[in-house]
Amino acid sequence: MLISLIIPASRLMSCLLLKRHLTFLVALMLFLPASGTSEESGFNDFQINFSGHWELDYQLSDHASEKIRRVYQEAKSKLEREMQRRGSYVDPSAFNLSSIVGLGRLAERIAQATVLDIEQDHNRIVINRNDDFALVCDLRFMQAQRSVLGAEACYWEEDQLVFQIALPDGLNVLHRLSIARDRSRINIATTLMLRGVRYPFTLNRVYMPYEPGEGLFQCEYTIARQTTCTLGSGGVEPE
Amino acid sequence: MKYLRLMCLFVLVGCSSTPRPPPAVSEALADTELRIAPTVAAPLMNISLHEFASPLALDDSIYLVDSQLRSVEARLIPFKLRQALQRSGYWGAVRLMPGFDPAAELQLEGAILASSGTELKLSIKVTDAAGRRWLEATYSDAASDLDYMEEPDLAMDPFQDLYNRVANDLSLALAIKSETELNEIASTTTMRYAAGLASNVFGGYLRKEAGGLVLAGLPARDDPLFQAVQRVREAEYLFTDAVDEHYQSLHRQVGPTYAWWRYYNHELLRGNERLERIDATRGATKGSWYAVERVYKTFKDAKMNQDALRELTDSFDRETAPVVTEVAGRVVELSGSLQQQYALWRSILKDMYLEEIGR
Repeated sequence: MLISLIIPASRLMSCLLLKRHLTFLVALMLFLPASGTSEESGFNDFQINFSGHWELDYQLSDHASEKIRRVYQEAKSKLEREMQRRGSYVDPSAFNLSSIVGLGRLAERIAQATVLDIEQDHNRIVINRNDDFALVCDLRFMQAQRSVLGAEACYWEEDQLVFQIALPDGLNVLHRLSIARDRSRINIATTLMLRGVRYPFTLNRVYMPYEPGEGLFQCEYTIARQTTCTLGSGGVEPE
Repeated sequence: MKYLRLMCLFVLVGCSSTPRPPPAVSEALADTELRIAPTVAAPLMNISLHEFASPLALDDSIYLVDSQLRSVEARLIPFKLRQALQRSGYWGAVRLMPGFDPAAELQLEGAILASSGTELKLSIKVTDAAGRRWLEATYSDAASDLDYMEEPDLAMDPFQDLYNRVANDLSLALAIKSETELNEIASTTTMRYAAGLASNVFGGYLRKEAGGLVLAGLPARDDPLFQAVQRVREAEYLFTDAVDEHYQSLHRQVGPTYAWWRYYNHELLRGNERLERIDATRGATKGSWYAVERVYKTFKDAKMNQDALRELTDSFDRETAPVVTEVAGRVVELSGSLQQQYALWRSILKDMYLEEIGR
């Protein structure tokens, strides 16, 4: 339903006009969450703190292949039940079963990070992911924003921090972060929605805390000196 | 509210790949050569360019990555303009400063109204020491695919035409000034500087009128108080050169990454336009897994580029190396941000002047 609201790219001119007329409305609507109640905006004194070093808990995380198989089976059963209920043939292409596999594989690549390094303060949260771009949220201005390609938003939903990325061709990616009360686990539920595909696909990746330790070298990047690394307590070796 | 927010996001993305309207042909196609001074004329005016204002950071770019990018642009773009002005040969020292520089005859202020890989729009204002406006205009330029034919490099800027146009307009504004006028501006600058250090002594040499500051007279050249001012002013130049060196360092370090960001940004915007055209004529492409994955990969690559830029700008803001300058036999070490250093330096100069005159 919501996906159908995406404006077709081919309607470029109407989009331009629509954009002009909707600017004020959109700006107003976008402003509301930022100035809304603390319960809604989640600015509850920032009790939710995701910061720290986290690594993937393989045991508790979804395994992509299994999840794809399960979602596929569920969709197939639903199709069969539908056929039984109607007592007539239902075109399987309407259920887009094969797309579940494609969506699942893409979700697997999007949620590939095995290590998270999260920095959070009152102003922003930066979720650094290995081999992937960082999810960055300015906690002071949680509004939808055009990005280089498409649009992005981050917002609180109860105790969950949601990153939403809407891209051309109707691809929507949601990363929903939640943390256990005892801070023993973080879950990132990555949901993919694609225009024309009936089922969204969600992959849960669970992370547990770890201590990175000091390591042999302590490296710091500075513009003037590039990367400088300190060995033990004394020597400095430029990289 | 959640659905409203979702609706807003979808409306935004629905329009996100909209190509920008093409700029006026005169702006996009005209190659502007930089006018070079035929001979060195005296007296040469010094120009201080301030870091540019970036309203984009407040109004249009609420994401931190963007605001940091704008913060880098606010320093890199005036640096490019500084280079064009310097190359033109019409001017004395052309320096980039964190803010108002009382030692310079001309102050150039600017605001970045639009900036992407395809478009640059600047508002420029140049004022002399007397407060008279030399230039006030908005400049825009559009980059084409030709500007990005080769990999970005520091020497080649896709918006060089724009910098050349500003430099040329300013040199034309200079050309209509008589030598007497220029001498008066130089003297006004000196007295404004002196009055800034000791308004009770030198304030009377300047008069405020509707058109700006008017020079009412000059102190004797061998006036010991005035000579002390001259020495402090020389010390000021040492510091401004050191500050300027910081901007050169920024240009060398962050410039290449920024150039890549522009290159990428241009490619993405143009790529989007191409995708739109392909989809319009070949419906079969739309919705294919190849297209979907390519869209995500392009997005991911762009975001990772932004990450690299954020890391660099973070480092620059955090790690502005201390400026060590030797002034009149003393070594002054300043740390903190450039703005903080500059403010501290101004108070040190004032102390120096008081020491010079024995108070």
